[in-house]
Amino acid sequence: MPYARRLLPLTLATAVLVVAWIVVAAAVAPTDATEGLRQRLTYLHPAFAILTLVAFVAGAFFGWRHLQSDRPLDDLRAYVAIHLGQIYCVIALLTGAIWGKTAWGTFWDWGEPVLVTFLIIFLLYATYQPMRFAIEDPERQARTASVFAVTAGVFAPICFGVVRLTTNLLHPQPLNDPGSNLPGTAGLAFALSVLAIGALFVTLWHLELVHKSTRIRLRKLQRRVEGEDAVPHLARASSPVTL
Amino acid sequence: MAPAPPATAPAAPGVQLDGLIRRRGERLVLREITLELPAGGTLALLGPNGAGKSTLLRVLAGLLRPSRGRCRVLGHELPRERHAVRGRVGYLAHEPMLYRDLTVRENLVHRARLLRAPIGQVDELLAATGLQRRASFPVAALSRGLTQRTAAAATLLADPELLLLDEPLANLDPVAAEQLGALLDARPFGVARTRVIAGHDPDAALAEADLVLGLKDGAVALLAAPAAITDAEIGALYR
Amino acid sequence: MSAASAGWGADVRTLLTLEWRRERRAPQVLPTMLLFSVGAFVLFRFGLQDGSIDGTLAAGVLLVTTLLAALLGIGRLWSAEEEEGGLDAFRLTPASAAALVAAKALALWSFLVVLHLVAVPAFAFLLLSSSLDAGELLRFAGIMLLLDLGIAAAGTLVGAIAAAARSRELLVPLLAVPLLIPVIAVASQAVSPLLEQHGGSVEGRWWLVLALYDGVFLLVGWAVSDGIVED
Repeated sequence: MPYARRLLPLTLATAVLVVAWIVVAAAVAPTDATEGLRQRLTYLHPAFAILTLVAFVAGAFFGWRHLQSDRPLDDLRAYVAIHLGQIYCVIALLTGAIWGKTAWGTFWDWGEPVLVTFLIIFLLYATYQPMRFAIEDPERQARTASVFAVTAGVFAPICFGVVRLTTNLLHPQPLNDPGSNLPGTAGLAFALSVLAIGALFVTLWHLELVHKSTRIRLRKLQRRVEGEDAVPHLARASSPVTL
Repeated sequence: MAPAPPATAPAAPGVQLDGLIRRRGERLVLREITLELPAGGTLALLGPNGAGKSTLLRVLAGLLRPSRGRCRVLGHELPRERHAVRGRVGYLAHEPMLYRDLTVRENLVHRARLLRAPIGQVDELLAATGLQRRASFPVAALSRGLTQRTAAAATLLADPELLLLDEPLANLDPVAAEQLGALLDARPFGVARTRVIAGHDPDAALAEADLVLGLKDGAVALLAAPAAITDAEIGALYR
Repeated sequence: MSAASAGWGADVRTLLTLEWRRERRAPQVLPTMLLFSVGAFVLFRFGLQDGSIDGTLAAGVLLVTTLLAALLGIGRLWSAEEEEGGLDAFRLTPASAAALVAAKALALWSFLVVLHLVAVPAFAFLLLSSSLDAGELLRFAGIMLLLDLGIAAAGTLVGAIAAAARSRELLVPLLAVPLLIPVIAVASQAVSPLLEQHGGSVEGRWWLVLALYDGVFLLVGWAVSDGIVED
């Protein structure tokens, strides 16, 4: 059972990391001589992109666990991970487009594999909630959603490889050489951005998990106190309704 | 016809439920059902529409998981050991579970293959259900009664030890009902089978059951041997 | 172990026979996919005005038509299990869930191969301006087989997910199109040199990538088969 008391230390750690990240990225790291202010997007965009993939792979992991264990909590974990991944994916796409506009003078470039991959993955994951909502039986919904989470979670890295093969390389490779031609503080800012946005992800994930499971448990308690039929049943939902 | 007592009493009861709860989302469909049905016994399920009869049958068939409580079928814990009871439970559901475009025989042969039953059994069952002349009819062309007989034949493939019957004689004319009733009752080879029968006919249920379970809103409203049940109790069940 | 694997193979055979028998008794998937494909080729003939195409354009027209036709097959793949209770009946038997998923994937694969046996000559007749020699034809057929297997493996999963939903016809294209973009992209890269006027060869890496895609989705299908077949 996810409990709220872990939220405080998590939040504090995240706050420290986020503040450090903002300070280093905005003030400590020098403005790049050739790229100017735009270069500071390096401390924002790649971290969101990386964490998007982490979120979707985490969704696949919890989906897999749910298929094995059949515990509704694992389905809820997968749901929240994917839900946050969708938000991160939108941010990554938007910041990527801004980066593209400033760097290449265009918001969108079809020859750019990472951008195209993100669009494909975004399109796929955008069907997650409609798919869940369309399945009425909650158990069936959970199992089918886990099948989706595993399939899509395996698909995402593959999609990356394939699209990269079929298009020419333009995009900087942040994972291969983070700030190779940048001064030490820039490397630090990049590392901090991944850490801070990663910590933010974990905190938000835990927060939503606590929020959703508390609501479910509250309804359960209410039913126990007031009687099974006193609490109206939830209508169809796209998120898990039982624990 | 009352089922014969088991010739050699098996150690495991046919069905054993202890505080069985089944939820569908937030809705409680079965509330704390506890009962024990000895192997070879017949349990009659009574109750108004929506009382949870079909859900209970689906749980016993291993098609739905119990949400809480213990559920042992043929000595195996569900859902953990559900693979051990696959092929040993015959479930005659409301829907016929047949491919409409295929013929009667094709449906039965397909099911027999998956159940690892001898294909010769298909002809025996076609004869026993009086379907021989219709064996090459597609299921879509059959009347509801004949479809029900085909579904019953498919249920009896592989000699299931536990029969779960959801209103087995609905849609049948009296002669067909008698014929099918006999088929679903006695076991041709040796030991009588354990049966759970859901239905709306209290008289028939009381006549052939060893135990009667009355469900109302998913809860046990009545659980007794047929001899101990009064008309008033049956009436209260449907009120 | 050998008895169990023999049972597995026999189950797959039984289930695959069932798919083809149902398609023969009440032809639904194949005629629909075929008529749609030919209709789309005619449409392209007019849409592209001149309509004689080769190279990348030809590859794109053929593969996108294949994808759209496959969507029709994917949508029907699990419908009998849902509508006629076949899934419940299956779950009462000792046959393994992986056998059912494998049989569905093989059925879809064989449908797509049959589709291509007719649709590709129609495509060559209606639209293609270049011609292929025997070697190119063989390589082309190989790529199409791998592509069809990839579509079948991913499509089986999509069909199973969509089958659980009420609005399955709407969900299939939403789920299948993004999942199939990479395999269509790779196949397009692979076959477009073969469809050039002067011919060409397939780069080795495309074979590898297609085989990898097929393998991964077959593996995923096998791994999640219990999740598909259980409630």
